[in-house]
Amino acid sequence: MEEAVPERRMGWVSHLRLVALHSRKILLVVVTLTVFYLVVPPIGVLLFSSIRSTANRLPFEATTFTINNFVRVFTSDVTYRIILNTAWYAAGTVIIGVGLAMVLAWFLERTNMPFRRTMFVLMLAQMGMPAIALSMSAILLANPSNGMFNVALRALLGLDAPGPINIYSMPGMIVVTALRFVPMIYMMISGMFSRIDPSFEEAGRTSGAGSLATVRHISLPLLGPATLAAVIYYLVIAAETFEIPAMLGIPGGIFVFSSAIYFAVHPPTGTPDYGVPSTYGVLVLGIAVVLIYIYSRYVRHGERFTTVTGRGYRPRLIDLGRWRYVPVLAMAGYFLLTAVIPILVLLWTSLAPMYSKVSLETVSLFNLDAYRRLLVYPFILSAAKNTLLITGATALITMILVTLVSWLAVRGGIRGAWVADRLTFSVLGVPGIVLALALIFVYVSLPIRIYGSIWIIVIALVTTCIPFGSRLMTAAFLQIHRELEEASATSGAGLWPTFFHVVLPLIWPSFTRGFLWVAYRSLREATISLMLYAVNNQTLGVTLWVLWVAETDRRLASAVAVPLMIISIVLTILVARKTMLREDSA
Amino acid sequence: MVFQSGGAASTKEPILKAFNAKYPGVKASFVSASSAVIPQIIAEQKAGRLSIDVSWSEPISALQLVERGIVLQYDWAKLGVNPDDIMVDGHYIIATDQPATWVYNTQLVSGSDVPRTWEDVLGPKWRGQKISVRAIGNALGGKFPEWKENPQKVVDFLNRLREQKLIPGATYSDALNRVASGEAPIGIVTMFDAITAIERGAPLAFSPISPAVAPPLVVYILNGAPHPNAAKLFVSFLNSPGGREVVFQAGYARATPGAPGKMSKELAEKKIEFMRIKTKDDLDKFVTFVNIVNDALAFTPK
Repeated sequence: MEEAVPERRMGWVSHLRLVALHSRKILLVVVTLTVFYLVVPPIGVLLFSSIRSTANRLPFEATTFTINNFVRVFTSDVTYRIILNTAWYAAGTVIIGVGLAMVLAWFLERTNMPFRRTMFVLMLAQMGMPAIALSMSAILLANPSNGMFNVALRALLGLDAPGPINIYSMPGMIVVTALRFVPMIYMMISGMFSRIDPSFEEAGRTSGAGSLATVRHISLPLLGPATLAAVIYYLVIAAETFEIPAMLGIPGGIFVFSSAIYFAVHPPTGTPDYGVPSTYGVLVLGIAVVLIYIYSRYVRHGERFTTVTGRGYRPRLIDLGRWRYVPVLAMAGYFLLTAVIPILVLLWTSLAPMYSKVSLETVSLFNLDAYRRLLVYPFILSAAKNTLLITGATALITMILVTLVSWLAVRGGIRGAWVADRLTFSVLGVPGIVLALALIFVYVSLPIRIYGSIWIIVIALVTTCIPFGSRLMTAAFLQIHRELEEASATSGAGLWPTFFHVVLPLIWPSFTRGFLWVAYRSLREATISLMLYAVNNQTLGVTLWVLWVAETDRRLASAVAVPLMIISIVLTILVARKTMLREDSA
Repeated sequence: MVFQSGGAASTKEPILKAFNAKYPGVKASFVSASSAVIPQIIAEQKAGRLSIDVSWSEPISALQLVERGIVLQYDWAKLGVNPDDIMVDGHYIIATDQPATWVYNTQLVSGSDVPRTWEDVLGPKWRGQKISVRAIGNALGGKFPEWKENPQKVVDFLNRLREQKLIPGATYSDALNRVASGEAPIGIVTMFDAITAIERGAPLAFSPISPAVAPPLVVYILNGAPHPNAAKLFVSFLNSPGGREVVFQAGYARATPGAPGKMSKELAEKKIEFMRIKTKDDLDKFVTFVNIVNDALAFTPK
């Protein structure tokens, strides 16, 4: 005869479950409202501003609705020139960037080239370098008049000035951006190279196909979806890039959407007519949303091309024979071109007396004046403090928010839990410069004192980082079976004790990885900081820009850029080695 | 008390130091922000929470603040300000002149090749990213008087100048760095920046293309500023004999004939006429002129 369960214990457990459910509901409401606040108002205000008559008025001061902004934009030749420029720039960047990344990934993941670990780390080294610093070095090296590369090439080849290289051109913009994107694209696609089941390729070789034919007819098609996903994603990223088009494109008279929006919001006279940049923003947003939709479709159906079959396997490395040092030299050359030479040229500029020529004699005149001046320069310390605060706050807020969103979405069991999750991903298609523009409208109009403070930058960065964070944490939660949390609840632990003592320790590695990625991205970004730059919120990225354009002494900007670049390289190498070592030992 | 201005922070530091030393009970701090701060000022003023007290900037970018009633209108003569320095019915006070002039790199351009007229710069030797200018129409202020008389002639000139394929810079300093470093042989820069660079050893010299026309940089207090009395004290200090000396030593001089300082001397030596844009009517016309120049030279996508 079964013993009846005491009624009092059943009621107590049910009571706990009820409390847990209500706590989750309250948490879900709070989290959803937070994500809603981050994502929806900026986009809504952007759309609103695009249909307001905003000549000499802020968007919320305007009194009439109008389609005139769209008429002006779409009937202007300038718009189509900008669209074409942006398309060329994005497409060129992605073609070269993806092409290079694929070649590098192939050699690193599928061949027996020596020093693979070292080359992997070196290749990623420049990933954290500020784009402004890279543009500065590109100007010093390749401006058509007296860029160091051009001076050397003219001497070598007996050519006349200007040129032969002109960095203030579309090819110049594309090459600098593409080289900068290579490590990030590599990170996105390299996993596919190592996860292809070699039996597919072996089948090809067994049938008589050579290595090249195997690559062409088997390997590349298998890599298609992942590559296409990377292409689409980085088309959006390239289209929103601002620093390189601003510094290299504008001197050559080339405007893309990001620079057009920036200058429309910062006119030389009068109040900005926000209608036109809003309309540009809506146009860019529309294109980005379509591209991201296509991207998400490919990512969702990627399993059709799954080649990891569950059987144990080891990827077969291709033997390069006597050619195995060629990729080593090529990657060393890439590191030299994208990291070492830029730092050296800025170091030279920071140490040499002003207006001195490049010569051995100048070396004897090197001094530390610029670095000494920098130590007492008015905004350096506050910019450094702002940068650290923004970086830390963005990373912490982003990861806490996406962890809660993902936890509730994966575990919630509550109706509507998917809303916050979908909202976090929906902002992926919003370029940073468009988001910053939208936030200007929101906080210029609302009586919330955020405009001009670091918090508007934090809000913008959190909004741009939550898509990545939510994907990362969702994947982390999916890997953990729910029975662990259920065991905790059954033992009487409430929502928060379960979260802190059971869930958090399990997802901690993903949390820290996400924290580092978001911090990294915040540290090196400047587009949003430049758009939202006002009183009291200057960051190191903005400082670099201000010093380069506002001081009649390029040594100061160079003296800021050099340590920033070195620190970013060292951090990247440390993170890459840690990641690589952890993955190797997994 | 918060004092805001664009440009290099290092040049404003001596002024702040001197003020803080003279009035230790008032803490004045400086923030560097360009005209991009204007929408913020408008928004803060609407919310009744301004974060800036005093601004030092180009008057044309601040005219919209005057029109919105955000700039304090005051009887500055009562505080000892020279009436000749008061502009736009007591809204602005002249801080310094900022004429833009042509300069050339002495290592790249010989005396005989130096352009001496506006027409000279349209010659083939200056075509193809050889002329460095700030990407804002103020830089072509020298053409403003002619534009007032004959707008179409100046527009035709600008269209021909565009064909020279100028190198637009983000600021006057950016434009100057290109000329001083030898990236461009000639350019239009502010005299203030050029004099500073020459003193540091830049291989620059002034080209005698006349006139040099510009509105002055002005100081104004925001209506509703959080520290209005400290702001008035600061403005009064700037216009006191001691304050004017500090401002002058920081490099901010007047360009009118006979005024102390290198700016006036250089203009006189090169026989460059200086014209200051001062009245509200001329400022309004200058705004129109600047926008026409921006369009004609494609400084902004329009």
